[in-house]
Amino acid sequence: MKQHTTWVTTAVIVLLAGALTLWGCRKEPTTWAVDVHLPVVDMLLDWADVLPADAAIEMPPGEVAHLVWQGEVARLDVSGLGQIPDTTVANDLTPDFVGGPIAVPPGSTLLDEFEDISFDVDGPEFRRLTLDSGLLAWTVESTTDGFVRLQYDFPGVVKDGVPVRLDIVLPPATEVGGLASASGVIDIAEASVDFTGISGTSRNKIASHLIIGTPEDISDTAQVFGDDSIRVAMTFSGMKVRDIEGYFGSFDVDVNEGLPLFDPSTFPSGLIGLSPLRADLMLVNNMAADLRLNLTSLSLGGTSIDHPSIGQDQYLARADWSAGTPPVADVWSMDLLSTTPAFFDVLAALPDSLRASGELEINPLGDVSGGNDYFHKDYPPLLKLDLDVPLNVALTDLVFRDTLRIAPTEVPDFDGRLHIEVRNGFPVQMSLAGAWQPSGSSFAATLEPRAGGAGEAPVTTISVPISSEELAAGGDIQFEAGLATAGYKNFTGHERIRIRVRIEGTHNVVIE
Amino acid sequence: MSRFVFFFATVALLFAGAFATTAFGQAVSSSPSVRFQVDSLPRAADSGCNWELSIQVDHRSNAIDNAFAATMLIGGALSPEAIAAARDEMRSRGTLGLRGNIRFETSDLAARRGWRIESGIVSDVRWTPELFDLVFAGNASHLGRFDVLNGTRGRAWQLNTIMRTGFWKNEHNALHWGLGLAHRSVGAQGDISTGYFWVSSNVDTLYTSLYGRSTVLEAQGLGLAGQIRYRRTDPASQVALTLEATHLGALFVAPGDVRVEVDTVLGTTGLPLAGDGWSIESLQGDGFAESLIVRDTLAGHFEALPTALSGGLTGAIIPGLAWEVRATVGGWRPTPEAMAGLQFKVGRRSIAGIRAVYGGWGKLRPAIWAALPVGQHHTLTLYAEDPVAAFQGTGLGRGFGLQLAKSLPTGADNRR
Repeated sequence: MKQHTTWVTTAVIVLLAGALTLWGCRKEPTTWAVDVHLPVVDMLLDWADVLPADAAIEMPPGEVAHLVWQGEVARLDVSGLGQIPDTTVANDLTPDFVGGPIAVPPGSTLLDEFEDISFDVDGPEFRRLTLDSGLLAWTVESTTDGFVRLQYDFPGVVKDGVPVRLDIVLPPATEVGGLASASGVIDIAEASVDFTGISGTSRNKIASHLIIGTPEDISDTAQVFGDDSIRVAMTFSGMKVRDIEGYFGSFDVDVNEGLPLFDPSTFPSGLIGLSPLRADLMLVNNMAADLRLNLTSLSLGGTSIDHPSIGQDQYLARADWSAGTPPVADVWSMDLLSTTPAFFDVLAALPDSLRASGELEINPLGDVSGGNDYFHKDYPPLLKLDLDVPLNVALTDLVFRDTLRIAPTEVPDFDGRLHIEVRNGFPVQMSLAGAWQPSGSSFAATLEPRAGGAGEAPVTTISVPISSEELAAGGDIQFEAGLATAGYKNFTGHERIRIRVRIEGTHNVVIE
Repeated sequence: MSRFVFFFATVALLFAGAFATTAFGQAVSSSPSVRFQVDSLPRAADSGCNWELSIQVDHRSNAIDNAFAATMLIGGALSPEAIAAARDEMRSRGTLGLRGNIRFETSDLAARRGWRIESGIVSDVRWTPELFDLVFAGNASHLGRFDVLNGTRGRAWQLNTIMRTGFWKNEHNALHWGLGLAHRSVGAQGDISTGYFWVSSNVDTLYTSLYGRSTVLEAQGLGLAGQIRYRRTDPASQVALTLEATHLGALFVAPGDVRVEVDTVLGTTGLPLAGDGWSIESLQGDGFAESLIVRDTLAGHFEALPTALSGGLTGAIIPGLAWEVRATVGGWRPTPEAMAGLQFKVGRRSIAGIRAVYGGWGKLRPAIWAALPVGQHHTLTLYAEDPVAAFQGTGLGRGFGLQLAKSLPTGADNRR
């Protein structure tokens, strides 16, 4: 029987030992392969993807569609307007006696003074402005042997409906090493600033009211000596205006605006044939200040464009802001259909930019409004284009190159293909070729044009092999598309390209 | 001598199972589907104190074979053949149960009182064949058909109980009961209430919906647990009836567990490259997966214990040979479990049995057991379920048990 007991004991021990041994086995990854077929991408490319967001395609029944666009192409830089220099004002209060001490009881006033803080603005005479940003830094120092109360009011600087005020109590200087001081910064962004000073009729001045005395609620008698001082310094800095009123002065602004058109690296060759019905280049004066524009040159790529208005002064009246935003603006326009050479003939050859040069004068006639100029930073003078282009377009061997950046994506142990199915709804033949670097995968396909009418869009499928390594490496897909139409083709505005991508391949699942 | 041979063979089988390369799951599994027959053996005497110490481990599946399970646990490559074999075993759903527990029980025969302490894990996982295919084979062979994921669920508890036990008996009836505390220390559970996946045959449309929840159970659960067993012997027919309920009761789970919930429907012919909502760009962005998840902290609540009910009959055939049948439901079993077997005397004091078991988490499988005297007052019972397949990679699980009790076996002809 003892033999039985020994067997049982041994069995239990060995079982437990075996279990523990196996429990502590090294765990290697568990892997298996799954075959995945999934739709991944379904997207449409239509006119909205290549036109500005505010462009419209008008489709009169039975006629060719028109691309209509009146949009902003440049904002004239008038940033010189409303530049307020950083300004510091300091007050140094000293007693007008020698010796001392003189006892100053609680609640006494040592200084009560209204003062204009002047801003050194050369030329303009501002009356009011609203700040987008700005800081008011302050420093107060006292050598007085007693508590000092300082109250600095700026009734013309109103933030959130409340005038900005500094109210500070300094401890006796003798308690803090002979000089009591305090400093801080007040954020005056969004503040409305009255620049008419104390009188209400000045310009470029902020009214201030400074009171220095001893606090009523501290029962301490200050001992003032003749050589004591209380110094206050305030610095307005970083003031950027949102809007500003007053007289802006008369000054010139250089105009040298360039509008990128066809990047040669993206459009290396080809011709685009267009026949616009309307094409106006416009200057819109949104400021409540008169403008004079003298456009001295206009060029498309390297080709100078001549127009009867080039070199002539063009006067634009001030905008009417009486009804609020948007203002009623004066507009000057140039008809681009009457240029020499023809603007759109030059444009057909894919110039890289449109450039306009000249000068713009603010208030060319002086202060004709009695100091009532107005500028809002969101409404600067604008260059706009007004276009009406029938979508009757000829593309001749137009080449489009671009690079699609592929972010590194971790899909471990995947090997398969991307099937890209393209339905070409445009009456444009497209040849498409691409190469994925650094993987070296490449593809090429020709997308036949849609025949027109209600016919089905032809479908082209491109298969691109992909693997984990390629996806992890990321890189660039450099592709080139060649586009051509058989002469001038009418577009309906409903054309679109549908791109669907599905992924098919084997993914090796790894469970660590 | 025969009992020595039998004992040695059984222990050797257990050893081999423990050290088999595919036996990793054994250490963490158990077989609750079979009660030791020693439980129903008469005590050696009507006075004194008896005790039992038992360990059971078992994992059982209707599809996941031992090699598959070992690869999942230990690592390695799952071959397409292994995956296909598991898929072929499945019918309407796949099931996997993993159990293990250790129990110590004492019984004062004079006072008819005792204690029962038990600690173990209980788990139940079930899934649809379609989910299995999607996870282990991909969707390539499922194009154009709806994959149903509903009904997939998994749960695992670590459960401890301590009970005061008692029994009453007369000439033909015996009633055992227990009442005490139950404690759940940790666990996890999750389910897919609604889930579909469909990709069109030409791979241009995908529809998927998922409503599922998952909770890591970290809040302590404490409650009442009970058990009851009634046994009646019909002296005329020599047939004994046993009815039993275990893990009766419920836990109050303290607040604090975080439940993660996903409720998403996506029908698409492909996503745009960029844009708000679902797009290739947003899918790759940080926090997209998190945006699909709703987390809430559960309040305190009650949860039922994994109650199991069983009923069995035992009867003599000839002296030294008896039959037994039993049916068990509950205890998180996905299907009722049925057992039929024979018991026979081996030598003067040992008993052995063979069984056929069907249901629960697995398919039809054999089982063997033996109750062997150890000294004058102790019995060692060994149990193995599907003992041959347990050591083969193609076996659908393993189940082993070992019990040492201060009591004596009696002959198979009077085990009622």
